[in-house]
Amino acid sequence: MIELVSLTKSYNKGQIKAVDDLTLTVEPGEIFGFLGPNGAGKTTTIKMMVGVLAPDKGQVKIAGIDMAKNPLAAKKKLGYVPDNPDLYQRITGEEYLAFLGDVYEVPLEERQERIGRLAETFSLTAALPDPIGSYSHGMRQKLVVIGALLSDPEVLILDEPMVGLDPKSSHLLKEILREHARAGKIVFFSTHVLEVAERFCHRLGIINHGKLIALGTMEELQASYGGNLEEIFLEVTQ
Amino acid sequence: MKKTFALWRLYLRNNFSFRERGSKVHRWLLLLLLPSIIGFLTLFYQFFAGIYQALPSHQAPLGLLVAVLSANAIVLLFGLFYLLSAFFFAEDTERLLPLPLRPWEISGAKFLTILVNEYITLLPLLLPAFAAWWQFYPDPLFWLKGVLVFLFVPVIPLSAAGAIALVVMRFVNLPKGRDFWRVVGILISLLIAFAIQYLAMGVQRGITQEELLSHLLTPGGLVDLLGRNYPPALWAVRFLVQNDFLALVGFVLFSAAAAGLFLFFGQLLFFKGVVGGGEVSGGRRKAAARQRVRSVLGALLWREIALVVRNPVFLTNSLINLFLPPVILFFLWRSGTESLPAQVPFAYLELGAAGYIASLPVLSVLPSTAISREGKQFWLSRLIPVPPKLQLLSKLLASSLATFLGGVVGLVMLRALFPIPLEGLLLALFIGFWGSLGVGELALLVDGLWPNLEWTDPQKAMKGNLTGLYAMLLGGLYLGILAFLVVKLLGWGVEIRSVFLCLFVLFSFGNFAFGRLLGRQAPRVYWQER
Repeated sequence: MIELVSLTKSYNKGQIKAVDDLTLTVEPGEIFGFLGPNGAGKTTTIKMMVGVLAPDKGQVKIAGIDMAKNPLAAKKKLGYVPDNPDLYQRITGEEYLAFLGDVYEVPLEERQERIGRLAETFSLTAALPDPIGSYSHGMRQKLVVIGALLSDPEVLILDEPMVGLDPKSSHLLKEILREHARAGKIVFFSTHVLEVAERFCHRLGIINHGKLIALGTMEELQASYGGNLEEIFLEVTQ
Repeated sequence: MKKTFALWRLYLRNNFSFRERGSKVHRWLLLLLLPSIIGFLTLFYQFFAGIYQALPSHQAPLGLLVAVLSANAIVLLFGLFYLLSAFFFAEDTERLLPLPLRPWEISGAKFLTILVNEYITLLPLLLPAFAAWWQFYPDPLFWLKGVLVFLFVPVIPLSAAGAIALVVMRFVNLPKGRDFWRVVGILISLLIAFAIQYLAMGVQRGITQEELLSHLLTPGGLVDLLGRNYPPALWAVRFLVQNDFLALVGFVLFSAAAAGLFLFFGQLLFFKGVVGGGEVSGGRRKAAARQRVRSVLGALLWREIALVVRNPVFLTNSLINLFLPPVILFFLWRSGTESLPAQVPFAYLELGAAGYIASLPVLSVLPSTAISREGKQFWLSRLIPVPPKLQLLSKLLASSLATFLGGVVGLVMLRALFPIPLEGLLLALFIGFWGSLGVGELALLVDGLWPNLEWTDPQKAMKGNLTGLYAMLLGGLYLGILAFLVVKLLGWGVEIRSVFLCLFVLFSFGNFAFGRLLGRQAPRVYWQER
């Protein structure tokens, strides 16, 4: 389970509230879509969830573990795909995955099986022995996704994961995320592609100016606001 | 030229902006280090004042010439590194290539930016040399002439460094094994720069005693002798001392010609050295089969080593900082002395060697840039479920491995000069290495608290990183205090082996104290907001 309680984060000595008293719970088996305009606070929220940014106030719990009190245990339950993955340019894809496998202490057989399967799915097997510096943006994105899934995390958090992926890879990623959720794990991702969010997510949250302004299943949102997701989004964020 | 200056302005704003985060801390650190800086300036001033005082007035310009020639040597070697990195390893180069800019405009803007850096580097050397001269030989126009000379001094060596970099990197830009060839290219460039330096300064070799005496007695003879192989330095000094405007014209024209030649090479070769080579090699293997399990510490250690060894800029910086000083010292000593003193106190040499090895972490700048070198990839270190202490330990171990290798090379060179017994060398290695741990911890702490993660040019993470300088000064202070204590102990007649024992105890205290401090700050290093 992901539990965010009164999560608050300000910049410029409190002048800009990036995230304002955000409370949210995501249950196991759920695919949660996190939406919002540019600069709404999505990435800041996600960075606090994965322990890269410390909240000013509030609490983040990942699989029941408090990120502030026990960050290492909480991080072990997580897989994270950042919006713009900067990776070591001079190590190869397979070395990067081996490094993650080692630090997340994934047993060799599990690691080999997952890397083999996911790399094959994303057509990345042949590129794995090459330096990451030679990868395209999409290939890098796929590599980060494989890395995030390597430890089979209970909570998978992705920030704009579809950006840079070709339609086929995007489709495959969605399949993999569905499979991950079906196994009782959580998938939490931010996106600007509303069609994907509408059809793909079990529940949606819309954030604007740091506040969670809409939350629920597609049906619940339609019942409250009417129209499709694009119309709802435009209405609540105007 | 307009585009070059526009790009230059952009670089200057980017490089010297004080608005960036953490600059307040840097300003405070600089303020704290002000006494050391003033101390260095005073030392240089006294050195030059000593020369001017000791030499008769007709030979006194020798001091100015030494300053100008040294400035040239510094610019040639340091500038070469900066230019190589800025031209061929900076991320921005790739972004500039699609813009409607000509090769010489991009290389020219990068050249000008590094020229500004060189002015900052040369100021602590030339300012004391000029100030001391002005004190002994006051001249109302001297400072005006001084500024002119100062502005032109780095142009010729930097242009030469740029031309070397462009020519060599053009020919090592091979698609297969690109990074390897680039390391080779950097080393070849360095060898060429050394050869030029050797030729420029090498006039004294083979001179007879009679010739030397005749130069000594002729007014300005020594100056002519030393400046014979590099006339622009001589012209600069003549202009400063004798108001020789013809010499100024020669100096300026020569500088302009050198810069022009560099721009010509830039136009001809810059793109050819940069473009291409990013292709991946063929012969792909089955990936997943190559996985093998390492311990967490093993994986972190592997990462540390791989990130240094595979980056040509990081690798050459470390290699040169660690291995070059003892090698240079060895050859200088070998060529400079026919016979070594028969009764050399080996124990003192062992003590000195131990001190040198202990200082290697700050000289190599490996621990003092360990966090900075991760740059924008630091997010991964913050994300992985590994205790910060363990991550720092892996960095310390990696840099200690380099220190150990550097120490062994230094001791081999020392052994080649002096027949020191093996147990003495081992003792120096043990004590020095033990001391280096504390120095490494201190250096790692400095970089951990104020890392420079926002670089696009890898040289900015190493030579251009202030944490390296801060660690050097703090490490120097720590080792300086210990050296002072050692000298005192020796002065009190304490037996040398007991001094080694005291040093071991003192280093142990240092290691414990800095290790504890580092351990306490570890969560802040990895988890504080940046």
